[in-house]
Amino acid sequence: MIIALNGSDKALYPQHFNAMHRIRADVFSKRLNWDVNVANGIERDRFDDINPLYLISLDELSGKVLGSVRLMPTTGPNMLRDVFPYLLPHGEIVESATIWECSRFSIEKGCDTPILGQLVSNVAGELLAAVVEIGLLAGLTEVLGVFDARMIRIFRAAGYPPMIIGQPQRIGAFMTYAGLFDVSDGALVNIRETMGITKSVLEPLSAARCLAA
Amino acid sequence: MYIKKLNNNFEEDILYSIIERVDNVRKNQDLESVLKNAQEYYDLKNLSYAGFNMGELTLKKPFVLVTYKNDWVKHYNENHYFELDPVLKIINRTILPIDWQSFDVNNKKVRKFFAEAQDAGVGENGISVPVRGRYGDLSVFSLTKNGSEKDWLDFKRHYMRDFQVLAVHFHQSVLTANKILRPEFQLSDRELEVLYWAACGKTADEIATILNITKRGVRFHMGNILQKMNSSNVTHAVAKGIYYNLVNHPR
Repeated sequence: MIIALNGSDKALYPQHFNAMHRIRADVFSKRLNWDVNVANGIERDRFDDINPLYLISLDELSGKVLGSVRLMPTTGPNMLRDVFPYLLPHGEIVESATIWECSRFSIEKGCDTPILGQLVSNVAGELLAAVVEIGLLAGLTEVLGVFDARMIRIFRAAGYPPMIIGQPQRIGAFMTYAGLFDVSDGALVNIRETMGITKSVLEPLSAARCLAA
Repeated sequence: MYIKKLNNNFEEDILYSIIERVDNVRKNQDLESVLKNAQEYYDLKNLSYAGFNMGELTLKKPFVLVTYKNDWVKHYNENHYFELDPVLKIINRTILPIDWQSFDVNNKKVRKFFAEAQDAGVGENGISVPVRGRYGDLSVFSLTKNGSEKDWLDFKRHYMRDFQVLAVHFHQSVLTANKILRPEFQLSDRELEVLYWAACGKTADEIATILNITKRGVRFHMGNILQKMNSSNVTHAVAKGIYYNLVNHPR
């Protein structure tokens, strides 16, 4: 189950936010060895300060945070333009009313293993399905992302292959790509069929609270 | 900025023709007339725009354009409803479009406000699309429509993309029409940190200690900042940095 929380909801959901930032520290600093700022076991960057939208995966029984992804409009500050501009040919930017950027896709250790018969974990599948669901509600056409080759394999296996744009670059030990994901009913069907998801993954109250959809 | 992959039919032409008009706006009067165009094309009851963080233009109050009747605008101003209006608070709350149905009707004042708005013919259903610009500029673009709940739901599903596009292009035209300056420089993360601490009144020595780099390193970054921002000294750079909303606590 995925809950959609705004950065401005932090005070209402301190445990969700703490767990999310702790998982991000584990994934990006400890496991991937990225150059991210970690303080007290918590990973945060300047984009967390400008009220992004977080999609957070919760265990349906325990309510425990299992993973998350972060969304921001490409019309405002975002990572591809402000941190990784060299992934696109000189001077090119993605800035569109109907494209949001997703970043910090991360999953708790032990929850990222697929169940039998699947290639990707349920948490990853649900997070991607939630990105498309929210994208459809918000009227988006695409979602933009920056990721490494390992992530592309996960996205493909979940039935959600990105379209690579620009030139891949080696950052540290990893080849890094910028890509666009389709936001459409078809994309949602594809993820659902691949992952065996039969209904909306959004926690009903959180979707209603946001959009009265 | 580009738009692509909209529903491939007659409706696409409507959006494109409105966007073209929006993009050609050079004066604030033209902005009002394109709001009326959109109102007509989409058979809306009303449209409104409120912009924030646009330098001098929005120093005292948001920049507002509406199609509401004058009576309502007068009533709204007289009652200082901008302090209460949940629509204006959206920009600090979320990046998602917000349906007015989701506002807190347990709050007595908010309930009274919406009842009065309803009586004044603001519209039966409403949704607001927040817009986030590149330099801290923000706005909220709202539209209302009369009709049943089911029709409203269908309408939103069908046209949400149009309204995202309209909101962003309209915001851009407000900036253009009011000649809001945009910086042509881009500072690195390290330069933003140095600028932030300089804005806090720290000396080069102190910044070096805070960032755990040499004093020479701080001077080097400051030199680059001054050059990029075309500033004659640190005070000038800090002033420009605040104007463009670049001075934020670094993480």
